[in-house]
Amino acid sequence: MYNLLIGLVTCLGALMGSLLGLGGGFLIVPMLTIFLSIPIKTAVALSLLSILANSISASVVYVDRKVVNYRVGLILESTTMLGAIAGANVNIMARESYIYIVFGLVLLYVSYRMYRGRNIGESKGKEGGNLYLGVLVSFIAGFFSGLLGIGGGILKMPILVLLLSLPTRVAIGTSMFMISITSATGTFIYFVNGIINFIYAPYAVLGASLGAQLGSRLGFKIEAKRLRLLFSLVLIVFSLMMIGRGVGV
Amino acid sequence: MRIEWVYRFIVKGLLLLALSMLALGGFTLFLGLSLAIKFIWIGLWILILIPLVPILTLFISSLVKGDMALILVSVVVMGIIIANLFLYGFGGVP
Repeated sequence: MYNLLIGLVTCLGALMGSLLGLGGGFLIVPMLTIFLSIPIKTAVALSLLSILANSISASVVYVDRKVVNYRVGLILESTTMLGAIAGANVNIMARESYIYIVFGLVLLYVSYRMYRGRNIGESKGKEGGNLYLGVLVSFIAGFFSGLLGIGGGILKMPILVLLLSLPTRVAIGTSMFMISITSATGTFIYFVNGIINFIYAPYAVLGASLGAQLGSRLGFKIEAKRLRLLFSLVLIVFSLMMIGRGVGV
Repeated sequence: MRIEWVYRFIVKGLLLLALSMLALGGFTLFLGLSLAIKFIWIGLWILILIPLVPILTLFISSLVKGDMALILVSVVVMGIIIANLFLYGFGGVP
């Protein structure tokens, strides 16, 4: 029964994440830790695993639409992967309380971004942009992805659009292609270190896959502005609860 | 070999296989069979290794086209994945 609850929670997390245009990791990890009292390291590993399955599924669609820039994706991925390896190893070594606090702080930033609701805009320059800076910042995106079990699209999109001047729809496709590789790298580190719980894994992955599919179908029917406001409030509550757990309140 | 075809047939097929293995593992776990862990282990490995398929395809197609930049980056990315496999192993076969 508990396993089915995990499936339900990841389904809800992925569904809400999909409605908001996020990968779902920002919701899956707090929901697993707060509602089901799963240790944060296990929750992070399960979230990354769920994101892996969803990003591969989404990549198939974007590749079919020919909106993936493989060259840029692979160049950035060379450092993003290293970041994900570093992040996952830091997570494994760090105290749980620190991870709760970092997660809470990142969640606060995400809720702020969601509340403002501004698009990152369209690229102005010629395609190409500042690749060196992009490669450096990608390492940070990978690090947070491995550390917190998130896809990292919220960091990758500004890199691709603002730094590398890719058109937004190509940036979305390329970001998803990159997320599938980054999350596979992070998941691998958790897997070989025995952090992935085999009992929970199938329910988490299947639940998240179902949630993402439902979300992509429901997305058009719900008013985006209200939804964004509502979820930014939910994320603030989650972030405060995560920080509270971290500091032992 | 076109990357779109690889995604449409191989990646999609492997994803379905991985999800089926996990579903089978979840079901047999529900029934209390010890075989479940093996199914889940295989499913997880397929899922983790799927991203290697498009990278390998990009590498092969860039070799054919002689696109040196793409050859280089795909070799770097594949190198990191393979180095990881050698460094960490297979995480204990159940």
